[in-house]
Amino acid sequence: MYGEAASMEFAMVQRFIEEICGIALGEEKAYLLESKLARLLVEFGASSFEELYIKLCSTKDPYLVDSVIDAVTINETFWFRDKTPWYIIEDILLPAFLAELRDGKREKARIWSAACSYGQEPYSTAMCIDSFLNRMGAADISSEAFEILASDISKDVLRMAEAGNFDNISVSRGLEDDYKFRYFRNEGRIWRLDEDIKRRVSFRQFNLVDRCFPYGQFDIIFCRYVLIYFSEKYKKEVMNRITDSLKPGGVLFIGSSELFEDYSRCYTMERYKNGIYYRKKECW
Amino acid sequence: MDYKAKILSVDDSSVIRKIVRSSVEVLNYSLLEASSGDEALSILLKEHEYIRLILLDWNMPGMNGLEFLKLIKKDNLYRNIPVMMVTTEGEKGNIIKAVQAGVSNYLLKPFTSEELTKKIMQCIGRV
Amino acid sequence: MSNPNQYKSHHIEESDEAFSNWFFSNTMREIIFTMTGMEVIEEKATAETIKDFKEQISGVTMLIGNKRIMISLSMSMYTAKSLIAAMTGLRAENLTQADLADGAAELVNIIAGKVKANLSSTGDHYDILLPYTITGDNHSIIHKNKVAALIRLYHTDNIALIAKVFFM
Repeated sequence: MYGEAASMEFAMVQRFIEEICGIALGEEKAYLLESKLARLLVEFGASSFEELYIKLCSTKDPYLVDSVIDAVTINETFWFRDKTPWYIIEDILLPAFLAELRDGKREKARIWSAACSYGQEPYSTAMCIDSFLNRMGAADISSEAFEILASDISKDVLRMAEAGNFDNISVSRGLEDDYKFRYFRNEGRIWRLDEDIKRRVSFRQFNLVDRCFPYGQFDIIFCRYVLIYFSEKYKKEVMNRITDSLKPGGVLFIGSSELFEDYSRCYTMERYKNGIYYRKKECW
Repeated sequence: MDYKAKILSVDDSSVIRKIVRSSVEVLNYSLLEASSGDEALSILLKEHEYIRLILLDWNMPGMNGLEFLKLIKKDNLYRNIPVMMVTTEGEKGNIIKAVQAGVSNYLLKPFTSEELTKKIMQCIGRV
Repeated sequence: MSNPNQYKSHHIEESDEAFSNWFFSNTMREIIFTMTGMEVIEEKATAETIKDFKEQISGVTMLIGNKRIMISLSMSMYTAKSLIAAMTGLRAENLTQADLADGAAELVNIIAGKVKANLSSTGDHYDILLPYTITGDNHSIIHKNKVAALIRLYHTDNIALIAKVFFM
């Protein structure tokens, strides 16, 4: 990026991106953004980033906006990433849910994967729950007792997630063999996820920057490896709305390398097997 | 003769072509491989009717990706086959050159197989 | 965090901490993670600390511009097999010597591509030479009269790679 003019028009596009999806691309990522958006300049007939910005603001063409969002979002692709959230779910949360379901103290457990990408996170959770229920001989508990919502900003990414077909490479990332062979059917190079597991996850397109979170309250929320790309302002706003979407006593999982500095206002931080989870205080 | 819809990967790296194979096959296409522009031209001659997309590297020994692209866009038989560049080349000016020369999509290395699958889907859908 | 804007008007010096941090470290870990799914730890190293490291296969390339920069990525055959198996979704035992040589070259090529893009944001244009691979037990990448400006070790519990950057 050279020259004042270029910097200014670029800053406009950066600001637009931040407002439309929360993602903050610092100066040091400027070249990356340029590379990712360069193609769109030609595709949408803009001869400069300033023109692209003007088009973005004036035409509000959803396809253009989606293309820009698609160009800048990064999709994580890993099964059981960090592992520890699922140890916590299996050893601490599911036993409690199971007991409450059996006692009639609870009708269902609601889980939200708030930036689900190609589906590995919510499907890992569905497999974990299924495996747990089988191990516990919980034939009395229907899989409907566990509701898993998975959302992402991108329609195309969601389409892939819903299809539940994984290639040879992505099916190997973080997936233990016993899960792989139990829950996937291999057809040559395509690994198809079990229909029963797929059915347990509902996918919705959702932009975390939206002011209204319309999905009610959850027992568990995964919000991992997405807020690291957001500006401070949007990070705080999104975190507040995520917190509002958690039931008191509900659990929040963030990425193991992510920091949650002012958690103590609304959460207690708990540790288990090298993993951290945040439990929303009952009242604060 | 195999009538399955095909995707042609043009890259001098066999490892990249192996990665591409994963994405191509999960979308139910069959993969054709070329390690150079010249090899790709021979394959196009025989198989162009079945080729739905060309995935093209830029930096290759001999003919580079941009030169190959310009060549095929001049040819009536091949010009309508969509081309996606898959390359380390990330400079804005060069990307614009490629898109102006007829590239329909552009993927920077490093990439995950899912990203490639998504972009292929965006270009031509699945079979 | 250092201000990247300060590099817009001066050339990168090999001793610059910023070169190694901004241009190199994040680049390496991100590339390895994206291509292989492995999360590696980075450690600074010196010729002394890596003298017992087993280099059996190295991918090498050069960037030509204001400076000439050589980048090498060295590892054992075991590491090469693990990385390339993870990259391709193939089993390590099914990989040929040619696959390993190709994979090592391609990894260093992708790294050079990112470093080139990083450098171009400061106004410096570089060209990348086509990468190549050196194989052989216990070989070393040494440049006459030059000490590697940067040596970094990237590893998990199972694998390890050494990256070296030389300014010529």
